[in-house]
Amino acid sequence: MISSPAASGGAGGVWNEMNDVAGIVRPHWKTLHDEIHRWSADQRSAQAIAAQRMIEDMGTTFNVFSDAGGAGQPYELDPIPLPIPAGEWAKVSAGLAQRIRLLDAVLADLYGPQTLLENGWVPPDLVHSSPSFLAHLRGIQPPGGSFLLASGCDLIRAQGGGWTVLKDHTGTPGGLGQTLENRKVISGLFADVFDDLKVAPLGGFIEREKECLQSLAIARGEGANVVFLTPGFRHPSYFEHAYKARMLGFPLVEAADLTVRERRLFLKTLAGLRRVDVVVCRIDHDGLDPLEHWGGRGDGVPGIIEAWRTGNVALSNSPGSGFASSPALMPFLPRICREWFGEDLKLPFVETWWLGQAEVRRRVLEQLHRFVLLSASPDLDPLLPIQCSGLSPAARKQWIAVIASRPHDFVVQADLRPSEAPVIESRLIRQRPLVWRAFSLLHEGEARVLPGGLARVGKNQRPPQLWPAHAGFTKDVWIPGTSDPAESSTRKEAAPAPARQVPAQEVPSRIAEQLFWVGRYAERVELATRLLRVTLRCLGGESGRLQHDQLNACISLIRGVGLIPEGLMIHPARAMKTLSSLIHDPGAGGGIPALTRSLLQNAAAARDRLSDDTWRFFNRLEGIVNPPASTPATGELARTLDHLVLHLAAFAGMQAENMTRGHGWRFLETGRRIERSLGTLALLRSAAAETSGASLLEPLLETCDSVMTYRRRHFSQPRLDAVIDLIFADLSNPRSVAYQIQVLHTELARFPGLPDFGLMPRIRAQADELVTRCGHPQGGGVPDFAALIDEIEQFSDALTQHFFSHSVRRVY
Amino acid sequence: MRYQLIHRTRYIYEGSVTVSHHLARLAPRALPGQRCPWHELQIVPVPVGRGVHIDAFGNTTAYFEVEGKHETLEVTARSLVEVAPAEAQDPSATPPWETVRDACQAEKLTPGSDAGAFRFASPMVPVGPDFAAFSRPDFPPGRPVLEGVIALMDRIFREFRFDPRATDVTTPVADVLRKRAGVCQDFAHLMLAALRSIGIPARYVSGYLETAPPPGQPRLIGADASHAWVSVFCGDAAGWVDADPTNNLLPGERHITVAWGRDFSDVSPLRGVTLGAGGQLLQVAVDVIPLGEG
Repeated sequence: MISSPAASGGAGGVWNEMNDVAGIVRPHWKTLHDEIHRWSADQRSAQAIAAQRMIEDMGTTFNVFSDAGGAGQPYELDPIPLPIPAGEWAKVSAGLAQRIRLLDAVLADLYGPQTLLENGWVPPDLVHSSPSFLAHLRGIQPPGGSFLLASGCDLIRAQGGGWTVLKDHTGTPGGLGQTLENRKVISGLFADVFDDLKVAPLGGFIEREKECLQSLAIARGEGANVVFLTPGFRHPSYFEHAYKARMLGFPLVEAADLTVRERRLFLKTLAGLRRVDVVVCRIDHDGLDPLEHWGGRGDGVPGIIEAWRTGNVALSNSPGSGFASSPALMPFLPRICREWFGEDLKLPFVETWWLGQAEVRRRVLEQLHRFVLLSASPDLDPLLPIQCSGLSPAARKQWIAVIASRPHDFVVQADLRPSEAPVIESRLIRQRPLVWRAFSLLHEGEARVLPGGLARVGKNQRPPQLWPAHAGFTKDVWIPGTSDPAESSTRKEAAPAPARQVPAQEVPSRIAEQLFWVGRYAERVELATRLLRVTLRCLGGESGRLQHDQLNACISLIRGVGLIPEGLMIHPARAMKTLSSLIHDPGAGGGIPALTRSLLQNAAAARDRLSDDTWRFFNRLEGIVNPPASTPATGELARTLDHLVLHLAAFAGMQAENMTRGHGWRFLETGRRIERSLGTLALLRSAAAETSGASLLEPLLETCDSVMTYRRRHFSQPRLDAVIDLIFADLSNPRSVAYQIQVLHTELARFPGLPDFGLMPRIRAQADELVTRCGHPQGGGVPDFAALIDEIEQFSDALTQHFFSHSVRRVY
Repeated sequence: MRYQLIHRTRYIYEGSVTVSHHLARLAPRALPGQRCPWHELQIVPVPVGRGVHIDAFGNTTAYFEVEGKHETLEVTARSLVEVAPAEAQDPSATPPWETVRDACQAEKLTPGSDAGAFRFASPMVPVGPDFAAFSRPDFPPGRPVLEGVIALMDRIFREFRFDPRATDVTTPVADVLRKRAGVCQDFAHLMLAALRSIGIPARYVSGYLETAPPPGQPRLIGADASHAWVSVFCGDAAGWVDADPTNNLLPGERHITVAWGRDFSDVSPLRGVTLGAGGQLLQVAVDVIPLGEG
């Protein structure tokens, strides 16, 4: 049985996608080839940079979270697409349509009657030994009837020339979001060629996926609620999740946003619990329900499996469906396909063997060097996969012993070199191996295949089984469009337009909380930036006593707002070093990089609520504060801070001008106002406490962007009472404390929920009190700024407690 | 023998719990030698959502949710059970252990390869050379499988100390092997690991054991506890045979079977996820009251 590999390596060269053996450009590459070769080296590099820039702007950089645990590689997009000729596409799409139907049927049988085991078409041990077969879910009928709604499939073109299956993705298949992002970029970059070639659009597929998901909902009058469940922003594919959720128009939620009540699933929103009918599941299925699955970290949604078991919610793909992508199953599929469908498997697959069968194992071990050794289930063996030809004799012997002790855990796959295609790498065109990830949908027995996909590019000669699972270097895949007017849309269709805005009532409480912190951190970064900018000015330019006094004043303010610890003394001579570290050192506790990181993490977690333009702002923010290669001069530091101030102003402007006044906006605004009043009060507290107070007032006015106003009104050196008047009590100054409190008071009336529920009466009383306290001081006295800070902190705590309840979860 | 069973579990939470979700496996199984004519589950506070299903191993599983602030949760399972004496197996008549092992590897579904599902690692029971080495002395070539099982059980009983302080619910089996001490759950897991590591299918059984009071003293209320032992596949003819390494005996009519699975994680009597609580205090009281012959 081992003698008839569907596709094997063999000697000789590697298939080139663009050129045939004689070096002649293949017909389906002609247009693209001509286009690429018209470019000069500079143009090539410009195209690559443009593609990269666009993809980063859409939000797929991972650097922010790199030390937050769970980073991926930065995601790169090659500007040259991979064209597939029509004839090949017809064959591949028919094969993929058959494959998703087959894998779905296999899952339905294995999680049901198990006739496959009874008939011996799949060895019982293959199923019984696999941790990815979730035995405890056997017997549950998935609502909607099918196990697989969506699947992915990695294809390679081996030496033989045809596309061949390398790996299936059935559990939480990813990559479609990236594919849509790529298309948006590449179709813009290549608008003319894209039109000339009549490339098949992708929009219809995602529309169809959306319809399929909605139709999974149990019939209810008010229409289906679908949510997109992600593990959260630390997951390497988080940005892809966010992008796809927005394309589908479903809210992006995390497990903590969901709760099961009376065996039904609900989303916790600001307006209360909202019933959920369908979940697009991107959490590993064994972590979905801490009640049903032992181990894990206790996250997941307790009771969600019971809700699914009783038909109250549809989960897509069905829990346990990841088993269908076990490579161990691959060699058994041809027979199952013949027996059940009465036809041959249409797509060949890379030679694959499960080692749980003695005879197969014996033959494979004789020629182990031909193979890559894999785990039958993901994560069974952290050392795998490995290329067997690279093993030393001793290592080979060791592996053979391990295989003998638990053979059912291992699979081998032929060690093949995939075909190569041109990519642009630092201005040059190079040939690189690639794997095409295709996507299929299955609904009510009908399969549909995405006319396109994600071509993943290998950067070295390692076999594709060893390539990293996430991100990497990719290409857009172009399929010729049909003449069917329904299928071929107008130019630049690219990705479909994002669906409707999610109504405010559907804002998950967690998102509101994250936006609240986005507001607070944005303001905190701004205050720090402005204050440091003022301080920096004291260090450069003219020297003299005045500067020295001002520097000391600034340091007092810096200490007052908590940028440096209370007790830390800074000698003016060392001030430059301290400033530089506050601006660029990610390790400096209260410094700008640390604050920015908190801002970005909160923003990332609310990614699907932020527009692309807003996200572009956040994406570039990181670049500004990244430490420069060499120690920056004063001038450079000043430019960085100027740049930051402008950037933050742009974000505030976007928030003010472009964001719908929903609850999401309201919490962002509230966070911003609370933080600004706290910051300003902290500055005033320092100024009022300083005995030689006068010298603090100038930098204070500058930090609060109120120098001009003050000069216009007073034509004199700043005086404490006049400064308090302007910065604290003046309702016409949008930087004054009174103004912030006024806004808070107004917005409070528009908060969701009943005015008399929970902590709301207390919160409203606190706001009323604050309005009174922040009026013009009676009899010219100095208000008790420290007490006000306390009160506002309490107000903020009460808000967070009321709207974003924090509870500890325990599993036993 | 007929028994009345009362299994009371009480959680006292530190702080109040706002929502909790639970799975209970407290209903005795119906078996050839065991009947459960009556079973009831009482939960205080009254759950808002409840359901019963049969899990993948055939155990009756109750699901419930408690909503609204609560500081305690009390779950009381009451059952009436009739247990018939198990048909005694002649250990020497069971097939050699290698025969059982090999039959489990059949490439289509047979009683052996079906049982074979219970010879792989599971969440709380690893398999590996250490455990194989532990069971090897009791399984010389050609020995009837049940003789080997009895010898292994006897050795665990003799070489391991019963000590509730030595382990807790989460102690890994490898530690039990090293410490040579534990409770019924540990001995059951260890025996499973030892048997599975040489290819013999074995499953975890949770249930109760009737404990006789010391002579001349009345039965103490709540003195019993839930118990755990193993069940071993001994070939097509003998089928699954239970073995209790904690008491070194093959269970008869004093063992009442509630549920079985791959290990404790599949059959935990009461599992829960709470929202809001800090710590918690657990009180369990079990009464196995003999009612005489049915």
